[in-house]
Amino acid sequence: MWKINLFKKKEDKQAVKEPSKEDIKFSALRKIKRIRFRKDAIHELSDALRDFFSEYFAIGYEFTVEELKDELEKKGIKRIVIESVRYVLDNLDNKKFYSEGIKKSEFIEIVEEVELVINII
Amino acid sequence: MAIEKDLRGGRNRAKVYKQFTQLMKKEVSRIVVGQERVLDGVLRGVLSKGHVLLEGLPGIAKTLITKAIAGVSGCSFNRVQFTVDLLPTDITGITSYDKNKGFFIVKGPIFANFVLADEINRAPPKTQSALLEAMQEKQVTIGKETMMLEEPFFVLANNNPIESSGVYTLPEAQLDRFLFKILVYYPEIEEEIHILRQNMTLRRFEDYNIKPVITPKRIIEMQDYTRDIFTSEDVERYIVMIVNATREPEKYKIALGKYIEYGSSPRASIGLYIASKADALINGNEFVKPHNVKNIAYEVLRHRILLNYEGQAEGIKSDDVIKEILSKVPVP
Repeated sequence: MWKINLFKKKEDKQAVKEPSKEDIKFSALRKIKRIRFRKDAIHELSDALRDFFSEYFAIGYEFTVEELKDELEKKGIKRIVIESVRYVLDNLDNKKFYSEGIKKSEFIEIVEEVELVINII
Repeated sequence: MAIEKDLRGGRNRAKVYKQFTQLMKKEVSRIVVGQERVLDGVLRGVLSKGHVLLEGLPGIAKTLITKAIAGVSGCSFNRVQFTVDLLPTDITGITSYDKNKGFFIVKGPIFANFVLADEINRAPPKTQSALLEAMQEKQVTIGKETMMLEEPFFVLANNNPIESSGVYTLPEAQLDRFLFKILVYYPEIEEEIHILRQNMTLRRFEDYNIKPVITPKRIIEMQDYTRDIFTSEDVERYIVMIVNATREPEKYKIALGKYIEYGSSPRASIGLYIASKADALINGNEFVKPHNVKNIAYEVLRHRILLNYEGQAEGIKSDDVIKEILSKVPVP
């Protein structure tokens, strides 16, 4: 005989798991590794880094390098880490906004710096 | 002078010019306490060859700042107190007659490097127009003669925001001629204590013996260099998108956009473009970064966004709209 239980609870939907900080780092590093050297690679790299900071520190607005520095200070990140972030981002800005293009060797160097920054945070 | 040596030695010119602006600020700070944001704004205005409208309550050093900046830059300074009976010729000048000399021109107070238009909203529109035309054209016609105004030429006007009777509010089209609208606030407690100690009101301006630390020629040179500061295509696009967001806020999901009656004109884009270069120079950079654009956005846009009745009734300020725009327009 069929039994219909009208009061049976719906199965709980599995809650969407928030990515951990390590997951965010891992996914950013993976994204950066995939960037190949070409004309607008520096922009792609910069966007990937921006997405990383935005997600990792839950920054809900369009920030500049200087605003990011203030955010990191507010979040109590060590001074030395902030300075490293600033150095890399300033370098990236110089290449993005004040150069005619970069060489492959320079690009590889910046990618290494960016990876280092993500790892030390 | 060490800075001059750096300049001759071919050192990064933006860094050298930054030192000049710091020197100017240091000398001005001998007489003006605090108000660093206002001082920076005025300097950016001078470097951009733009004119500045200061808005704030009486007694918060608006006149002093202008006088002091003119003093440190070795420029001539004139002040015009705008009143209801002020005539256009009281600003520009007149043609007079002398039986020995014949007709001759008496130049008005507009003929100075720095002109302070005190309480500009007290004069009737035709007098305001005379000043605003001179600002725009950088020339004045008296009788049949047209004369160029001497460079550097910079007008700093202030508006009295507390009175509504006996004042003629500047129309939006006229406001647009000012590159910046800077709001001046009361000093902080510590600054006010410092003001008390300096005993400002009992000493004359001359008692402070403000020295020129730069020449008018150098200011012109810095203004020319400001135009040469590099702006990348990405930053240019960012500037245009900010201005576009004032016209089509829904495209950028600006919630406060519903309170905008009219967005900003292309003059706002030009203003952001040149003023961000001046901000880069003050910070010693040879190129513009997005942060330079954000730094000057409030001053350039606040008088160029017209709110609708609903917005005004809700107590929304154009600064609130600008804040949201800057937080949502993608930074390159």
